[in-house]
Amino acid sequence: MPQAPLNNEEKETYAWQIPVRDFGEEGQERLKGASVLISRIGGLGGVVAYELAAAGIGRLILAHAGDIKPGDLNRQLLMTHDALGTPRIESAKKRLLELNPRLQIDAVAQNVAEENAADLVSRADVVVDCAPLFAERYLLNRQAVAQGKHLIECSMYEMEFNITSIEPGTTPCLRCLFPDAPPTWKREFPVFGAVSGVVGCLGASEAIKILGGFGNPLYGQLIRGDLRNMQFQKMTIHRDPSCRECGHLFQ
Amino acid sequence: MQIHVLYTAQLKNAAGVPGQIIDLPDQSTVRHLLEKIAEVHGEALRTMLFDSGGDLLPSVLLCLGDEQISIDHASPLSDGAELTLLSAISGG
Ligand SMILES: [Zn+2]
Repeated sequence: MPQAPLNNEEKETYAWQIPVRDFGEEGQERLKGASVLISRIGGLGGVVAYELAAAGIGRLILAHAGDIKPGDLNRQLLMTHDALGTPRIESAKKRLLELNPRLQIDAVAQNVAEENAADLVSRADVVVDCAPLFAERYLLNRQAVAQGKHLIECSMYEMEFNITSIEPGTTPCLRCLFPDAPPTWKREFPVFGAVSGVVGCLGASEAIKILGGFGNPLYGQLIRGDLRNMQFQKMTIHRDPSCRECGHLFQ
Repeated sequence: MQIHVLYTAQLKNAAGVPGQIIDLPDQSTVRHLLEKIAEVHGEALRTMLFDSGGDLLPSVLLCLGDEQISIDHASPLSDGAELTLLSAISGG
């Protein structure tokens, strides 16, 4: 991945993280040279975007349609009360640039769909999947596998979350784990913003490690957490040799 | 023998409990365990685990201890084992 040299302002801004072991100025240059696609910037993706903007990612590609509704405000931290009824993507862009005016943002006022998935994924080094609809999640997975892009899978429900990182051709993909969506899935489900915030920060940490080239991303492992009783479990997961999305990469 | 079962997300709602201990005859397999769970909880959970042909739904992932496992795993379960039933969930 390309590195971009840091100016003095950036060296000062990231002085608290450049000394992180195995990261250093080279890691910071990698983040600056990197592009991350976040599919939807709601409760989960908004926190991923905010943390990556804070960490000094060079470019974010953000895809999210629609206007801010009251029901967004329990968790969508890039949206504000005074912006109710205006486009989510505009509010998100404004908040992110207030934090990091050096950030380049591709603000796409559309959700991931058949028509745009290949293009959106092609612009990114890493993709973070935070979408509510399984159709969008499977489209991102298909394009990430086809284009060999790392994909961080973040999900939540009520007080629980799951997260894993996918490296196509090495780890299981989303279809290996869950070949199809649950039959009775409802678009709206119970959740707190504190839960989306937890998994959003975990997802951002995975992106920072993958792009910065340090630490151990959750490859071939899935963490599930239940914040109701603070129970966490790290599981070893396996690819499916007959997977219709990534099976061919293993032949 | 006794197996500890943990439910997650929508499966937890359908089961009505976060987890439970299931009694099974020795030499029982993962499939025996899931069939017993479906029997204990009735339709609400059965329809979230199995399709009409009796196959595990592709939205359910099983972990024995900390290792993903297939429903067709042939080795018998051991007393005290822990099985987690993970459901596909999403973002928002
Ligand atoms: Zn796969």
